[in-house]
Amino acid sequence: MSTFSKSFILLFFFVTSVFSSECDSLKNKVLANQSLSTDDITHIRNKVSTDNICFQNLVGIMRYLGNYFPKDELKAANTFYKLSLKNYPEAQFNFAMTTTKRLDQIPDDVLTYIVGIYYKYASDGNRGISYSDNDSEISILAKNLGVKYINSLPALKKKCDVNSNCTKEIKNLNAKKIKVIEKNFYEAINNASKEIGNKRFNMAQESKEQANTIFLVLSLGAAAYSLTSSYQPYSANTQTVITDQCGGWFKCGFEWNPLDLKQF
Amino acid sequence: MRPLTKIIYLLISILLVGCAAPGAVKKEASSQLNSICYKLFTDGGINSYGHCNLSQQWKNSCAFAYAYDGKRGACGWVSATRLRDDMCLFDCLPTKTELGASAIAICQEMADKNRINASCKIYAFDYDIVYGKTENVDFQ
Repeated sequence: MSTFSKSFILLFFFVTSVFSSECDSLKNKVLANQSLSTDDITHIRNKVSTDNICFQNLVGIMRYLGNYFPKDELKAANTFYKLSLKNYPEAQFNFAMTTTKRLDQIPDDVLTYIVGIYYKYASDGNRGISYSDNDSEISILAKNLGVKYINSLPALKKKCDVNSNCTKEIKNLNAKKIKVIEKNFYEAINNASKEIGNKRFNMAQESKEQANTIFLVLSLGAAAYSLTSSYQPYSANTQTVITDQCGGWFKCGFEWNPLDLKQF
Repeated sequence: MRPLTKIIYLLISILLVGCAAPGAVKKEASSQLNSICYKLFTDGGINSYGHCNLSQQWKNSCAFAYAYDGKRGACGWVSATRLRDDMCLFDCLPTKTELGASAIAICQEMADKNRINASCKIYAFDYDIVYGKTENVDFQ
């Protein structure tokens, strides 16, 4: 690989990581309701024009909240939808978030979509020592969103009493129907969990078996070496053949003995 | 009783009690879990949920799931060590979702076996009880 190619790859990773962290810090500011400088806004607008997905998602959030951009929930939802088609996890989650606030949706469909996100991103997230305190895994957030949505259904139904733009599924909600929706949601989550759990468990089992096999092969190799290296040929006249070679693993240790010290 | 035997008994008692759940957790769990699951959740000792929590080297080392149909309950738990990939060099542990999902799967198997008509839900990650608590969800 030429020096130019190497430099290009390094530059690419540097630039993308800087842009993503920059975008994340601005997003945190927006979500924490902190004020942004004029330079920040100009920077965001410039980045959006370069088709940067993270910044487009950020503008979607800002548009939805009416933060530095004119409030337009539908346009924001469209932005999230378009980015979802590009498989951007945050946008897929945000699109789900917008649907949970809308009255023109069918609750079962919204929850099916949420369970889909829960399943899709189950393996994406922090592992081991990098576990963080806050739940930043998209799948856990999706599950929490589903629970929150079910809890908000009575309020959505109430809004429908004064709003004509509602689906009949929300308009006709009652306590019994909400219970059924909740039951279906948890059943779907548990079916997805079963698949996620089994997949992980089987993978762990396989890896443990492989590790055991490798350990066994190494142990057998070490045992074979120690046996063969300590083998002394037996002669018919009961005399032991003495060779110049080292007398075995435990007796001599390694061959390297520059000072010719006695070995034990 | 001979002194050495006394010391051995004392060490075993310390080990068993030392792994058990803290008082506040026990109090909260006693009001939510049935007696069998409460015991499983709070007990210490080898291969117990308490031991999983005590020996944890990371956050989210164990997950506990619980189902209750109004009369009877079922539960299940799993440790991250059981789901660890032994053939990898880094990031070998399960994600929080995988850990929780596995606990749910084990619990649901138990619930189905005992014909308990309820869905398992995550009860706790480690000794952090999340059951019945609504988490705040924001845009990402």
